[in-house]
Amino acid sequence: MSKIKPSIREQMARLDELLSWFDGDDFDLETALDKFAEAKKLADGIEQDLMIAKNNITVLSEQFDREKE
Amino acid sequence: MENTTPPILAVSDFIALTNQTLEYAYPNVAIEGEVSGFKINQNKYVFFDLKDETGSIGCFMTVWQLRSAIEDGMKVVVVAVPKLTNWGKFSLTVQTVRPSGEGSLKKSFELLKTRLEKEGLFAIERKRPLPPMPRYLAVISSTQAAGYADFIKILDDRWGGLRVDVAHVQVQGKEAPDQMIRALRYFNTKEELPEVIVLIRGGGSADDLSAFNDEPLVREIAASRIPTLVGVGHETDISLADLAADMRAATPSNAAQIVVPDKNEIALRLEHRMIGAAAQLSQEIDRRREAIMARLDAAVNAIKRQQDRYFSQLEFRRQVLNELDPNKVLQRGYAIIRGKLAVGQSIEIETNSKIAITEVRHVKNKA
Repeated sequence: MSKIKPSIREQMARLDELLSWFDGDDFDLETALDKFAEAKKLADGIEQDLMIAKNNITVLSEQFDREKE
Repeated sequence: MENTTPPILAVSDFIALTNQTLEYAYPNVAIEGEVSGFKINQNKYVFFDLKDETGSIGCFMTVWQLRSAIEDGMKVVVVAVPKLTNWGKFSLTVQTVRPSGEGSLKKSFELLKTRLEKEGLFAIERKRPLPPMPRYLAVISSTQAAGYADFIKILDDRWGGLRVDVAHVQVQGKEAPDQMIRALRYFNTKEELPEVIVLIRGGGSADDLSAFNDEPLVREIAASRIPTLVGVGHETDISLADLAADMRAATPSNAAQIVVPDKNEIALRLEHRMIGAAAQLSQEIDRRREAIMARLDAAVNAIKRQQDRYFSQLEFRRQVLNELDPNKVLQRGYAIIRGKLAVGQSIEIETNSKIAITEVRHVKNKA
């Protein structure tokens, strides 16, 4: 089963979580290197997604000029 | 000579015939006049007279058909069917009534605003926040309107990956409020609810925008399960729909700016945050490096001190050793004798500067 790619909002939330860790009291260098690498990859991915994603705009076929039967 | 005697009708037949004739002649008629004697009976039926300088006509309608606040002295346009009642009274059965002219529109707006404000429809506490990064938007607008094109352009420039369902409706005229209400209901009853409903329309005259002051529409916006964003007209145009919405946008373009973040700003913010994290990481590495260097320095100093101690101890021992050097003894005049001290034996005598081989001629014990 293919894994569903997280939405930009979910990716941003994960990035916020990673970056908040850098301001926290648990900071240690070994973990920081891993977290930084993950955050960098995530940030690059989000930026790429943002720049290429297109909106899917659909004008509904439903008519609103009369009450639905 | 032809018989011209008219047919004899029953009263009710005559009334029915008159109404048929009126209906044929005026299927509906729009009349402008001033409201007088406005009253609501049993909270169901509305009665008023419509008059001008020389004429007056009674009007009847139901409360649910009344979509604007009306009071005596207000200039209105009614769309109505003329009717002769069973009691012989001529009146207009009103289908719609709307304020006419700037003064009446303003007055009606203020009356309804005060009423709905009292009900709490515009209260700040009712306002819900819009999701910061929605994935699914509903848009209610006319797809032919300039405001809609502006909205979509700015939306596309700012953000991507959105699902946008657009309900194409009229955004001015008497049909507009009901169409917008139907669209609001449509989105509010979908299985998968949009995260925001955006109701937009570009600029126009007060009359053009009056659809957004329609009472049932305003109530429908206030009752929406889905958070609403209304962007109607220009910055200075404020409608009751704006006030009832969770968020008001000054224009359709502004609605696009509110509903989605700017991807370029987000990218820049991401870059700044990553630079911040990298700086923190670099600071920590520098701090660690300094700590390691300080410990290394301390270790080197400790080694050096120990080394110095060893040097000093070695020097002392060297001096001791020096004192024990046999050559030093020889230099003081002593000699080393090698060989067996027995008569007739050869022995070697080593002094400071010479080595002699001699024979032992006499041996005696020391006393």
